[in-house]
Amino acid sequence: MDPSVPKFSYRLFQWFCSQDLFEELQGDLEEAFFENVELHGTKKARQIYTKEVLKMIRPSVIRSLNVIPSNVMRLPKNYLKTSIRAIKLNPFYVFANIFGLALAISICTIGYLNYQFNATFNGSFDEATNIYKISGLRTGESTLGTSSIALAPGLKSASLEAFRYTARSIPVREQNHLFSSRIAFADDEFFSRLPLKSLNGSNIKPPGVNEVAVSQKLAMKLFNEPYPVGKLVKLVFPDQREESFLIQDVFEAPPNNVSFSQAMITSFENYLSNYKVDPSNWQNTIDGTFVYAAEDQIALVNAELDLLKNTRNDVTNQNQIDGYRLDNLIEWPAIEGSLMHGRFRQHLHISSVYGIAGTALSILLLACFNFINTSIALSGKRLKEIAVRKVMGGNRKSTITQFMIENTFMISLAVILSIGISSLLIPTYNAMFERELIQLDRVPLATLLQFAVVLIILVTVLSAAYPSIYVSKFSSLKIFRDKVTLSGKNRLMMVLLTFQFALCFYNIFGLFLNVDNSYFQNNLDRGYDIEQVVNIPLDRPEQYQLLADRLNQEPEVNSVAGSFHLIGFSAETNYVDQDGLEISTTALRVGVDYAETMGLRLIKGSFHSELSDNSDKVVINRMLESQYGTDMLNQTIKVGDHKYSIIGVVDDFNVRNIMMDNKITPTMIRYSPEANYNYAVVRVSGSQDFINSKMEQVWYSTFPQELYSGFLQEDVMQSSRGTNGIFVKINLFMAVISILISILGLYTLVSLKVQKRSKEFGVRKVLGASRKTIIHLLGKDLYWILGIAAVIGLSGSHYILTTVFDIIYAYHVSSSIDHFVKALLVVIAIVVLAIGYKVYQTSKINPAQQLRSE
Amino acid sequence: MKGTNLGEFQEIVLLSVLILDEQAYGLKIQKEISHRLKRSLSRGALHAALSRLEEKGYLESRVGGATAERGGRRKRYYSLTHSGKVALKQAKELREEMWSLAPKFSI
Repeated sequence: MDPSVPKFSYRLFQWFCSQDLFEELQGDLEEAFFENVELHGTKKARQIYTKEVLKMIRPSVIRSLNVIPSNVMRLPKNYLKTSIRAIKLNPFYVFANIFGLALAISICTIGYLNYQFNATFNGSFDEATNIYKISGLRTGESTLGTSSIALAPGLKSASLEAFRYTARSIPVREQNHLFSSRIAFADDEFFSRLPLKSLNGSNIKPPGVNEVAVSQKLAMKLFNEPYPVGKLVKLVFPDQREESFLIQDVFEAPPNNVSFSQAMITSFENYLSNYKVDPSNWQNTIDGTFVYAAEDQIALVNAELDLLKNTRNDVTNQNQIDGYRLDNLIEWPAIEGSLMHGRFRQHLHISSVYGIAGTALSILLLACFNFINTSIALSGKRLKEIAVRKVMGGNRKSTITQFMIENTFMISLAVILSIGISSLLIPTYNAMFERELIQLDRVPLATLLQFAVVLIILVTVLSAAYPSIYVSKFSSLKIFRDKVTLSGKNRLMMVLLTFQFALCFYNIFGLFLNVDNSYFQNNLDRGYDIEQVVNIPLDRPEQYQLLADRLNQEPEVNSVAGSFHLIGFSAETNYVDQDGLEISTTALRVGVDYAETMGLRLIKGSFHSELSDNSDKVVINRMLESQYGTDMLNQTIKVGDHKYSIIGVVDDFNVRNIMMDNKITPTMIRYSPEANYNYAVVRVSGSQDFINSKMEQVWYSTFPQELYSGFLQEDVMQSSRGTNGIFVKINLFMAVISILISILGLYTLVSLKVQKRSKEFGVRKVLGASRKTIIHLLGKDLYWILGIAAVIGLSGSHYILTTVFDIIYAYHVSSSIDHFVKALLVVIAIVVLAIGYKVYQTSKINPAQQLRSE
Repeated sequence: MKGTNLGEFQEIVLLSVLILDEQAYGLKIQKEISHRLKRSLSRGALHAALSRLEEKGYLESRVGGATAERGGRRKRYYSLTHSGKVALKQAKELREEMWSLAPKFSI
């Protein structure tokens, strides 16, 4: 093959070289190149050629940069110059506008990323679309998420690729104490189809017998080093059997939006051997069975599953299933939450995704409308500029261009500002949930850019186009003759403002109600003392006596009791019968002293005591007594065939948490012998943190080999506290934003009106109008706006929140006149603060100034 | 137009064009100079000097006929203008005058 000049260098040269020089210079270079090929060989010649080309990069050779004709460049530059001057003239308005828009964009970003959390769920697995989770369908009951341990081997014997995954929490030894961690057991195919990334870059291989791969976080916790491969971790299996597992690899934390979460993972064989599970027994269940199948194999899988269904139903008599359903790994997380025994991570609830997205969009709309209003209002000052432009030969198009560029420029500033705001908001948003929903470092840049571009186009079209077209339409003659008035009574503007204020009322009312409710929930009398009680689950009832003896030596411990059930956490339902009247009753089976330890308030009679035989004695609550309508003390009731005598009546107390419909129910307290104790319940004095760690310390000094999993009685409040917190936070946030945005809109409206009616006010003043009249005239529309907004916002808020509270809480505050008045006052105060000065100033101004035209 | 003084390198370029006479086109000039000065010279650097000299009016150029060896690309031949020759002569005279004034010189 003939040697040729390096293509890239040639192209490069052709690109930058001035056209009239190219023929001569390239000719010389090429001639030299072929001479060099003879002298030094092709390779060297090519090198020399490239070097020569690079040395050609000098002013006398490079083509002129004026590719674009200079007048084309000059125009946008002037547009931009005018834009910047216009912005400098009204820094406050412009900043407020930009800030409002930036805030809205940030919230939209959160809404979008929130949506992405679901949209990309399990998307980090390359083969997710070909992997299916198997769930069991049942007639009239919810679908079963777990499956039999024998299902996967059954599929495998039909030469299909199926694998099992099951996870357990397990005590892990760390020097002298234990902590609970989560270990997953998976078949080898799991490791190849749904790989976990090792810290060394490759994928985790299936660990062997008594080998385990651990997460980076656990590695740091156990050994304080990131890659402790080869070290041993001690796991405690049933019957206090400690096994040492060799750390085979360390995996990087997968994204939070995958179905599988584990701190350790090992082969399924280790599950079978350590938990003594028979893999061929259909009655043993595991968390999930998965099958890998190409599209054309699905029918085959279904046919095989149909056969296996019968095998399963023959062996086990509980949870009979009608068939199996296959769900793609991408679609499955959406239904996982509705499954019975759904043990995997699931989608964020769809209502929360759309709720946030909807809120974000409505805020964006508000901000855009505000932007439109302000733009139009501000352009009132620039009518003459528009007129001069037109007289000097600018056409409507150039005016539109000018305003579009100005607005786009401001929108770009808002976008830049929103990046800063988002970086502040996202951590706050994440903090509301137990795991980070938005992991910014995992969102691909392309996704973000795509979103940004779409958003910018949307915002520009929404908020920049209308004002530009509106403002550009005035004729210059009319402007010079002062005959143009910006329509101050813009109906659209009024409607928008009403809407904004309704939102304002809605949120402020909601905020007051939520704060009140949160206080109410925290201080609700549950009928027992919730503080300073620690519940310690026992592995075996025999532990109770040992622990109680040990605890009684501690000076901080006030009382110790054992129990089968726990107030707030577990109970059962009994049907109590007295003289034929049967009442469904919540029953607690507790040990002696439990009622006293929990601080239940005795009204009459006595609690169970250690001295007597308790087995046929019960204590009931007041509600049960009142449902029978007579004095029940010392009466006899029947539960099934068994007779009990009532030895005491206690004040009503809440047996469950106070969420949802867990209202107080008729309740009785039955006696549980020590042989049935599940918990030791301890009342300790000291702070929350202290008492739990104190109990942990006592536990390990008594049972060094066993995991302490005590918890505070106060944990019963967790769900209501969490919900209250989220409500208050979101409401506060929305209230602040809606206030900000509506004030901006209002200020603009008032300024516009002041400007438009300046002369009218002047004349009125000259003719003797008082300051009060002027203020009234300015505020007239506002009364209506606020009035309508208040009615819509307050009634809407009252109705919606009451409905929501009824669903979520057993007991809640009801909105009172207080809340309405407070919300009204706050909004009025804010309005007065925002525009009071402007109105006052207008009413005060010397009419001569308003009327003088030169 | 910038100064009409002749720099050393420009003087060498002019002399090379003079030596090569009818054959004075880019590549030849480049080779001649590299050969004389015993150092490599890039075509780009030479182009800068040539265009500068043309701007000053010391050189003129014409486009030659197409030849097959350069992919049909034509050569640009350079020749000295009258003022180029004058400038070269002046530079030579200036040197000779100065040399004659130096009292004694030996290496």
